[in-house]
Amino acid sequence: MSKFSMSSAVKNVDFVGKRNIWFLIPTVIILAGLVLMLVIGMNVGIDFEGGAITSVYFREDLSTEEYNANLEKITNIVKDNGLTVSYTQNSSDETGTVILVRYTNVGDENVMNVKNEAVKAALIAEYQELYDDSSDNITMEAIGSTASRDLLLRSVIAIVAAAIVMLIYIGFRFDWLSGLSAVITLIVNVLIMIALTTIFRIQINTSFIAAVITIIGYSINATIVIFDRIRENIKKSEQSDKFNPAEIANVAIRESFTRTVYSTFTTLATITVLAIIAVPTIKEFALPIIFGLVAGIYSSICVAPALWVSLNGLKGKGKKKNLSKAKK
Amino acid sequence: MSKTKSIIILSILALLIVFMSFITVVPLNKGELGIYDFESIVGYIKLGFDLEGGVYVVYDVEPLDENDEVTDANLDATVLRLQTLLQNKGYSEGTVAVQTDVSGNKHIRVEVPDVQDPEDLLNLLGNPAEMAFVAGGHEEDYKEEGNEEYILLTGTDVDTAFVTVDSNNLYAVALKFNETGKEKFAVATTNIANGTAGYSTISIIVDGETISTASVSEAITGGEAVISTSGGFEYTQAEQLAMRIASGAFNVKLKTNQSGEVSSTLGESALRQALIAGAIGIGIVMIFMLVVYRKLGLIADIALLIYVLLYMLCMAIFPWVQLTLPGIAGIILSMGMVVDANIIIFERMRDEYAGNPGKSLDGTIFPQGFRKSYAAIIDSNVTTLLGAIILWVVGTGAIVGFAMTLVIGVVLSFVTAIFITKALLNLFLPLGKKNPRAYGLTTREGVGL
Repeated sequence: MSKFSMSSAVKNVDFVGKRNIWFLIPTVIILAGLVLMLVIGMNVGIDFEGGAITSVYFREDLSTEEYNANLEKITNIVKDNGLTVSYTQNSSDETGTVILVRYTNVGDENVMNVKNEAVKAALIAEYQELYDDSSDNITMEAIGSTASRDLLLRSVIAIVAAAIVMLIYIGFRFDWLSGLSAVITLIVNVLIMIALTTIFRIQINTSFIAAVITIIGYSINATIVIFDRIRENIKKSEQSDKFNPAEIANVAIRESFTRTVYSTFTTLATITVLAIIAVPTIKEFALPIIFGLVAGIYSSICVAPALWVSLNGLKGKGKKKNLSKAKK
Repeated sequence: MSKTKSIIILSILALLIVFMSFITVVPLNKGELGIYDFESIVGYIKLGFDLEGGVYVVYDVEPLDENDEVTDANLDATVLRLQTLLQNKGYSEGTVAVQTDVSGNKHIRVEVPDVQDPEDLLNLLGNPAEMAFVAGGHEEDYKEEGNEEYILLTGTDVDTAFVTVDSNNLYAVALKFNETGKEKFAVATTNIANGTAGYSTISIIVDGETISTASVSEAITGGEAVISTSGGFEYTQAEQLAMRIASGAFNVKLKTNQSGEVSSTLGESALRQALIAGAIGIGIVMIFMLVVYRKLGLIADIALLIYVLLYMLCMAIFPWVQLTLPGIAGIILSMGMVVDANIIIFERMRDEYAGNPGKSLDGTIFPQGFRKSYAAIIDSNVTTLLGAIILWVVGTGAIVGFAMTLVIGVVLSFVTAIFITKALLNLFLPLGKKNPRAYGLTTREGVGL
């Protein structure tokens, strides 16, 4: 009695054969992202771009409706000036409540000075009834990004260092062609993630860095599982003296297809729930991870093994050339 | 293992899990148990600024000398020192930033999340000490405004300060100078030692008060010094002084403009939503495993539950771990790895069964399934662990918190996948029939070579 399984469903699919098409799709996405990044730029958030923080002080405790209403008034004033709100906070003690709103820079210092003054003026006008002299109770400060730029750089260095160490390990445990395929696949995944984030104009803050690292870890895991099968099948084919990279890769993909689908589904389930339920800032954090997961499952099936086959092909051609040279 | 033994152990395990789940999420309030007042385990986990909010301080920045101006370089250096100070005192998720108001005045904003005792932090930050090493006998000259003639070193030459024990076994404060400080100190002590200085002691003055006067007998070139007082400091005194010196190592004057507590940047409900989403997500995963792998799925679910409980425990126990939104990403990744490991194992078992339907479950199929999955599981866990360790060591700020969460997650996932799943399987085997289909094993088309 034979039962359906995900693996048997793809029993006859030649994953590796159509690899030129598979390679094309990520290329298109990445190029699209690149073009957009050059033309419109990325939606860089306050953590890296710097911005301003403005606060309005209320001399009393605010009920939840009052708080929300005022918060909306303030954020609308910010948006009316062509700015995006990054975070909102509140601070309250016996003397009253303060609503703080942070937004990101959209231009250089001169542009922002004008905008900041405009926002402050608008807020003072809005809350004229509250105070005789609003200016004391409404503050506006520009927050620099120097510390954050440094942080970004150090984070990138840390990520690259971690990735290098991981890939050296893979190179040792598997073969160097697998290691190389893993590197390229990893870079592709991250680029797709960044490209999609740029295309969908999602704000990039410190949590995005964490999302990138998560996806790096995830895609390396997926890659390892498939290359583990390839490693095993190479040993099997050595016994029968037949080294056909394409066939080995295809079989490896088919064998681990069930696991790949199930694992990605389970992780996707958790993160999608988060993306659906949560506040906008958490949604912004969850979406890039979802992009990365989808990119990950795609590349671990269609890109990494196919790369391995292509690289083996190049190696094979090199060997043939050497043989013919030797004969002469 | 006999059936009875299985049942007993499983029952104990069940009770343990229920108990752990309970104390993980439910705090015990004073009233209910008399004197004791326990927070739930989850309550002990330190949260980052994005999830919990915390304490903030805004400083006015003024030049040390009234006639000078505060330069950008000064500001940058001060920001760096504040960051180092926060890091050294365990507030690794604290942030420091420069603000400019519309009139062009510069301020420094410090935000630190989830502080146990805001008073402590405000003391640390709110009272930066102004420190100077002054030539002995000229203390009054120094205290006159603007008289720099007898200042040998200032707070800016100090790298760090901490409590130590001096040669009489009394509490004292140890100072480490930075490169410039080391040189200056070497020069000063050399001059005293060979009598060319004109004074024979060095006084340490903090905030206008002479803390101690040290006689110098030889040149000190090592860049370290110990401040002790006759009779020794009390531990808390020494600690306070060390903190204030460390925070006083600034080349500007910091005056507290505002301070207070502030809410999280992600909003009040962010954490609660994340937890609910997490619970729902885990629920979906558990149902999925149960449907697809049946009894094996049940085992994986129990293992996952144990994993989550252990994870929460570790997060609460290790004091330097702070949970932020990026940290949640780390948790999601590690959980994905645990589930993934179990799926790998079960799929291998299915492969074994499909190839040899007649073989015994506990004799061949299950052990072979485990054996063949080890390579992949070990490789993926080690790789991720290596990456996380590098991030921990090389990274800064939020990355470090994320890395720590990931390290804990990977280690636990390794233990869970290799040991706990196997142990649970061994416990379940004696119960019920060894029916392959009950374990989610099916015959199916092979796809191998």
